[in-house]
Amino acid sequence: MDAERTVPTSSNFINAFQLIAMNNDLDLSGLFEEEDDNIQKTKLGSKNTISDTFKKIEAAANDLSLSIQRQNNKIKIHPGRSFARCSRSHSNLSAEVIEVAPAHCVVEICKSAGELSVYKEFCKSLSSLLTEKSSIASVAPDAADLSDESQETASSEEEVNGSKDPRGYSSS
Amino acid sequence: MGCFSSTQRIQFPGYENPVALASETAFSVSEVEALFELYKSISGSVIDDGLINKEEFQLALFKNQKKENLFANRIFDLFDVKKKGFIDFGDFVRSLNVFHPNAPLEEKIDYSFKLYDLDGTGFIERHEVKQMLIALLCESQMKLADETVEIILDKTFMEADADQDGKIDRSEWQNFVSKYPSLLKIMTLPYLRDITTTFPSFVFNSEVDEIAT
Repeated sequence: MDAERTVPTSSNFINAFQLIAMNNDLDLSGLFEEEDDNIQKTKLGSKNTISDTFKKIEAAANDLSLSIQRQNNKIKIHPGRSFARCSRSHSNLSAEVIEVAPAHCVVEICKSAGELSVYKEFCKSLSSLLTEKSSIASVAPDAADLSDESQETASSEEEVNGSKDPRGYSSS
Repeated sequence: MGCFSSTQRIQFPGYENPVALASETAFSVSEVEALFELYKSISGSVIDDGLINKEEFQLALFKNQKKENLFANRIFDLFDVKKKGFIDFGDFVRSLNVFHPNAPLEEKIDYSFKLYDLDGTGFIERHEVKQMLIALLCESQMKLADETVEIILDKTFMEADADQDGKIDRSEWQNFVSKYPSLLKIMTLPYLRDITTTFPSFVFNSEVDEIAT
């Protein structure tokens, strides 16, 4: 695995500070905002390429009969016709995909209006899709990613991030 | 007018005259007064002593999800300018000033450098960046293999650490941030522009006429 320690020429890695800046703990807007139950945010990790991640978001939406509308890296999710209860209220639900590494993304799901139940259902649906091992044979990743995958499976117990955290993780 | 301001002084150690604070910052006098409304509610939330301690600060930031974490601690330490373990009103206004949309870029670059220099050595070291990355991963419940974290760190330091001495100094940080201006987005709070609309109750307490005497 020593070969993997050389800096990849691929620019598909986010830089550390961009990643750190995504931390909600650094956001001081909390000082000014009232606790607003309308606003909910979740971040999910996705061990997939950016395009596979989008596919999974679409699949998660389809599973719940929600319609989607893609705008660059953001997908807007609308209640479909079968969610008759929601159609009268304004709903603002979106999923944004941020590429962290060639086969790693973060999906930020944000709800600023609309039914909490739709939001929660969607998070659950997407979360389970993201933790599934991809059955779609992705476009052949380069050797680095492949060995990275097997390395992760073998050493998942040794993963540095949060292995000491008692909460544990459900996302891949 | 005089009576009101001395009442404030008794209740709030560290209270400073809004006119003085306004002259030192990007805030207008009414904005400073609006900030005082905010300050009062935060500083009284746990102990009603007119000062913001760490617990009150975290409560204000995270509402009911009171939690101890790296970044909240770091920001508290930066706000606590005099290193007394609490934030007084002057500290509060001067620190928030850096986050004002109109604050000079130089100040934002300085502040962010201090923010990331966790142990205050004057350099942002690799182990500090790693620590912050791990804290982020915990917060967002995202898993990244240690390999991937190392690669991200490698790439970052290749770019940011111009003299390759393993740490980022102030001028390297300046150059890096000019290349990636979005890194400073955390240093601006658009809310601060509309503070007088967010906290309109100040209107009834205004002790200062708009025309300065």
